[in-house]
Amino acid sequence: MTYPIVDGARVLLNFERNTESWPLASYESRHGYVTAKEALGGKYTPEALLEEVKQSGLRGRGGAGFPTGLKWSFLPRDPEGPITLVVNADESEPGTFKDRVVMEENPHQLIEGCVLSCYAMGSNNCYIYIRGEYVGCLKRMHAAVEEAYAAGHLGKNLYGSGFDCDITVHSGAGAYICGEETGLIESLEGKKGQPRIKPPFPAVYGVYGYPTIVNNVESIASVVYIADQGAGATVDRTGYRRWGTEKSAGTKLFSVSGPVKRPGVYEVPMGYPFADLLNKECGGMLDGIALKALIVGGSSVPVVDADTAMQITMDYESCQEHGTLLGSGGVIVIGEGTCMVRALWVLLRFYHHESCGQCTPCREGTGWIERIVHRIEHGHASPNDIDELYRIADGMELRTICTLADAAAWPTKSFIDVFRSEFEEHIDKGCCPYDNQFPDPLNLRGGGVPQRHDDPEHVFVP
Amino acid sequence: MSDNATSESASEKPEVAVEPTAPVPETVTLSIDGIEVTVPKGTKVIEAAKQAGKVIPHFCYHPGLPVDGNCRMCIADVRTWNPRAEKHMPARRPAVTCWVDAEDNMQVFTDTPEVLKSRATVMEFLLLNHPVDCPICDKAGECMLQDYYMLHDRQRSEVRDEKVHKPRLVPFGDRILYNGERCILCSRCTRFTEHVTGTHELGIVNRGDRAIVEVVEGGDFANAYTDNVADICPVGALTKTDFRFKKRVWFLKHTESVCGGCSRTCNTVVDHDREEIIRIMPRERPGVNDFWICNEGRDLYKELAATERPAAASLAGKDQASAEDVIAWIGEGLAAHKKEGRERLAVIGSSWMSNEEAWLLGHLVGKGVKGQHLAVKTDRVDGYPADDVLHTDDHNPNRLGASASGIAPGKKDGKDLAGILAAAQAGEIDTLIVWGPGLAHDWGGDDAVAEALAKVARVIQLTDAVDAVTPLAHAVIPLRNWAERDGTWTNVDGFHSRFKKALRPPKGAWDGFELLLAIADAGGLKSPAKNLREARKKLKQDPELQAREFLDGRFEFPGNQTGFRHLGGVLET
Ligand SMILES: Cc1cc2nc3c(=O)[nH]c(=O)nc-3n(C[C@H](O)[C@H](O)[C@H](O)COP(=O)(O)O)c2cc1C
Ligand code: SF4
Ligand code: SF4
Ligand code: SF4
Ligand code: FES
Repeated sequence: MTYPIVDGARVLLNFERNTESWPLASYESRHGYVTAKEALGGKYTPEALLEEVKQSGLRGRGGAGFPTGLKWSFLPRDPEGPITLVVNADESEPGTFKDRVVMEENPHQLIEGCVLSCYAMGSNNCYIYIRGEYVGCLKRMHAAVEEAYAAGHLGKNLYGSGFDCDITVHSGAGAYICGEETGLIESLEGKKGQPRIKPPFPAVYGVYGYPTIVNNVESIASVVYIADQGAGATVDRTGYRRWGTEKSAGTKLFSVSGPVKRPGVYEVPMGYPFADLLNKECGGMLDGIALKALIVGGSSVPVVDADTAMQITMDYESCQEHGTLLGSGGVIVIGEGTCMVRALWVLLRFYHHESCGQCTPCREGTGWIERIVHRIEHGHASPNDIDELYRIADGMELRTICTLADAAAWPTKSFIDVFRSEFEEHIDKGCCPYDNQFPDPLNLRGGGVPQRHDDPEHVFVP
Repeated sequence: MSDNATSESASEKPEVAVEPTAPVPETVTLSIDGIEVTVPKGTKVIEAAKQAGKVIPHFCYHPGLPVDGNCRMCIADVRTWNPRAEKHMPARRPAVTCWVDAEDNMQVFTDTPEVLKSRATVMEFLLLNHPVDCPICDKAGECMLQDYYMLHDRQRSEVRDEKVHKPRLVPFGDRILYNGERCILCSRCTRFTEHVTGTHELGIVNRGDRAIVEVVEGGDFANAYTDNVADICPVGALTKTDFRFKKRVWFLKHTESVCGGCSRTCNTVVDHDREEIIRIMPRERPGVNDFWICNEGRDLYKELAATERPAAASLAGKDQASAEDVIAWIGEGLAAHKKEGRERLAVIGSSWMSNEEAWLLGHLVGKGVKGQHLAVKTDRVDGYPADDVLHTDDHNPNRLGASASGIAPGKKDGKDLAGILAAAQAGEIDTLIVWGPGLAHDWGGDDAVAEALAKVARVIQLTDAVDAVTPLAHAVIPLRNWAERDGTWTNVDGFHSRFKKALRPPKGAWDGFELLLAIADAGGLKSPAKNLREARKKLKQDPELQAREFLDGRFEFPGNQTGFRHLGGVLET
C-alpha cells in the first residue's frame, strides 16, 4: 500500500512509504547521502550553502514560519564557543503529526539535513530533541543514527573533508512547552522546561549559553533537497522553488485529521488549495458529514468556517488573508455535528494543562478561560460570559514570555468570532444542544478510516 | 642589577600611560515620560525610570536578584528609534522594563492608557486565584498586591468559578511558613536561594496554575539567611514563624538601626511598638549588606531582652550613691591621673561602643599619648560562623571603628589588652576603666579577671550588661544599649553605619557620650566636643583619620541617606 503522491511534490516523502523505507540501504538507494558527500566534497563552501538556503525561501516549519537562512545568519561571526544545532522534534501541537512521519519513515534524510545544516552554520554538534511520547521515533532515530555512524555519514572527518558532525538523540518528557525553542533548550540542559525571556535569542545565547539554532524537523530535512537541487527560482520553476509561491516556497507536510476518508500526512506544494487537499488527497469528507470548520495550522491558529476554508490555499499569505495562520500544518477538519464550544473546551484544557506557569497572564488566564468555556458547555453560564471570555483572552495576548498564551487566546477569540451563535445557544438553552456523537470532538486520532492502521503491513512496529 | 632596573621601569611604563585614559563608564540618555535621564549602559529601564522619579510597578523584579521577568507587571510603552522608519517604534510585544536595557534615544512612557490597562489586566490575573485573606494575613499593610490593587486595579471581582486551591501552611524549615494560595510565583524566593545564598533549597514545581514553591526533595530550608525570603516575598505567601500574628504592621514604628551581630554591621530597621522590638528588618545599604541580613541579626533583639543590666549606678563604700556621685568620683580620678601620670591608667574599650564614644573617651584619657594604655576587647564571642554571604567571624560590630577613633594603645609604651592584663596582675595599674561586658573572654575567664582586678585600686565599669567585672567594680554606671542610643559603627570593610535610638532607655541608664561629657565636666577635663553632632563633625575632620580615609571606607556617616526600604520591594521613598 502506498500513499497517493501529489504530482512531483517530493522533497521529504519522495519514495514509496512502507516499513522498509527507513533503513540506510533504502535511503542510499534513493540518492541518500550523495548530497552531503558532494556538498562537503567541495560543491559548497559553508557560506555558499547558507546563501543557498536563504535564497530558497525556506521558512521554518515549526509554526512561526521564520526564514530559516535568515535565522542562521544571526549567528555571531566569531563565536566564543561551539555552535549547536538543535532539531525540534517535540511535535506536541494538537493536530500536528508530520515530523513523526519524517522520523519514522525517512530518518536518514533528517540526519543528512543535520549534517548539511551544521556544515552551513559552522557547527559540529547537533541534538535531536524528541517528544517524550514519541517512543517509536526515538527508537528509530537511535537506530538510524547508529547506522549513519557505522557507515561514516556521521562522526569525525566526514568523507575526508575534515568536517566533524555528531548527533545526540535526546528524549523529552512529554511537555508541549518544551517545543518552544528556549523551553526546549532549558529542558535539554536538564532544567525545568520553561521558556527564557528574549532577547537574547538562542542564536546568541542558547544551549549552555552558546550560540544555538533551533529548527523544526521538516525545515532541516528540507535542506537536503535545497542543497541537492539548489534554491532555484519561482518564476522558471527550478530547484526548491520549483514548488510553492514566491513567499511560501517549496512543499509542506500537512497532517490531516478529522472526519475525512483518508486522514494522514501529505506532502503538497505550498499554495495547494485546501479543497484539493481535502477532496483529492484525503478522499473527501466522510459520507454524510459536511465540513463545518477548519483549523488549518495546528490548534494554536484561529479557526475558520467552511466557506472560508474552501477558499484557502495552503501557504502563508493565503492563510493570513483569510484570518488564520499556516502554523505547523496540522490540519484539523471539523465536521458538521461537532459542538464548537466543546471543541474549544478540549483545546483550552490542553493549554491549561501545558502552560509552564511562569507568566501571570498565561498561568492564570489559561485556567480561567477553560473554566468559563467548561461552564458554557455545561449550561452554567450567563450571557455576559461570552464577552468576559473574549476580554480575558484579549488580556492574555502579547503580554507573556512565549506565545503559548497567544496560542490559547487566538483560538478562543476566533471560535467566538466565527461561532458566537453557538455559544449563545448553549447559554440560552442551559445545556449543550449537540448530542455529541463524536466523543472526542476534534477527533485528533482520526475520524475516518485510518488508512495506516487497517493495513497490517503498514502498522508501525518500533 | 641593571637588568632588573630596566625591566622594572619597562613594566611600569604602560601603567603610567594608561592612567590619563581611565575608563569612563559608558552612559546612555533616554527619556522617561519626557524627563531626560542619563544612566550607565546596561541599566534596566525600570532602574532608569527610578532616576526620573518614576516607580514602575513590579512584583518579580528585585534589584538584588537576577531578573526573571515573569510577573509582567512592569510592562510600559518602550519605543526605540527606528532609523528606517525615521521614528520611534514600540516593540511588537510590549517590553517588560525590568528586562530591557536602557538605550540611547529611547522613549519610555509609563502611564499611557494602554500601560495602565496592561497593569490592571495583570493585576486581575494575579488576584484571580488569590484568596484575598488580608484580614488574617501578616503581610497586610506592606503587601505589594494590596498596594498595587489600590494604585493600579480597583476593579470588581468578575470571578464566579471556584478558585484554585493549593497547599497552605507548609513549613519551609522552622522559621518560614508557605501559603501556596497567596503565592504569585514571582520566583523571588527561589532566586534568592539560587543566587544570594547559593544553597538552592527552594524551587517551583508543577506547571501552570498548579505550580507551587517547594523545598527541594530531601532537603531542609535551614540556611542562615532564610528569613530574607519572607521580606522579599511581595505577598504574604512566606511568613516568619517569629512574626506571625504578633502585630499588625501599621502599628510598628520604624527606626533605622545597625546590626551588631558581627562586623558586617548590616543596616537594619528596628520595628517596635510600645517600647518593645517586634522585629528587625534589613535596610538597603550598597557595599555593606545590600538588601539582606542574617537570621542571627534578626534575633538579636531577643538577646538584648535577655541581657541582665546593672540596676543603678553604684560606688564602693557608699550606699545609695547617686550617678552624680559616681561621675564626680570618676572625673576626679581621671583628673588626678592627668597630673600624676597616665601610665597607671588603663582603658578597655568595647567593640560595641560607638565611634563617637570611642573618640571622646580617647581624647579624655589622652589618645595617642606616650604610655597610654587603651585597648578594645571582645564583648561577644558566640554567633553564627563566618560565611561568604555576609557573616564575618567577629561577633562584634565596631572593633575597627573603636580602635581607629581612639581606643588604641599610645604611640610609645602603650599596652594592648594582654599588656594591660599583665600590668594589672603586677599591680602597675591604679585605675582601670572597662566599657561594656565580656572582659573574661579576653582575660582568661572569670577567676583570672577577679585575680587581676584585685590588684587595681579603682575599677570602673560603664556597661549595659552585667558580667564578671560588675560585682568587682568600685564604680558602675549603667549605659544604654544600641537600641536606646544614637551612634555610628565602622564595619570590617571601613563602611560607617549609623544607628538611631529606637526604644526609651530604662531609668538611670546613661547615653555613653553624654556620660563622658559629664565625667569630663566633673573632672575639669576639657572636652573636644560639646555634643554628638560636633563630635561627629570633628571625627570626620580628624587629620589622622582623614589621612587614612577613615580606614579606606566611605568618609561619611550616612544617616537617613538611602531612604529605600525594600520590604516587599515597594520602594518607600
Ligand atoms: C508553545 C510553543 C510550542 C512549540 N512547539 C513546537 C514544536 O513542537 N515543534 C516545533 O518544531 N516548533 C515548536 N514551536 C516553535 C519553536 O519555538 C520554534 O519557533 C521552532 O522550533 C523553530 O523552528 P523553525 O524555524 O524550523 O520552525 C513551539 C512554539 C511555542 C511557542
Ligand atoms: S506564556 Fe505561558 S507557557 Fe509561555 S513562558 Fe509564559 S507561562 Fe510559560
Ligand atoms: S513565595 Fe513569595 S517570593 Fe516566593 S514565588 Fe511565591 S510570591 Fe514569590
Ligand atoms: S551578617 Fe552580621 S551584621 Fe549582618 S545581620 Fe548577620 S550578624 Fe548582623
Ligand atoms: S516582569 Fe518586570 S517586574 Fe515582573
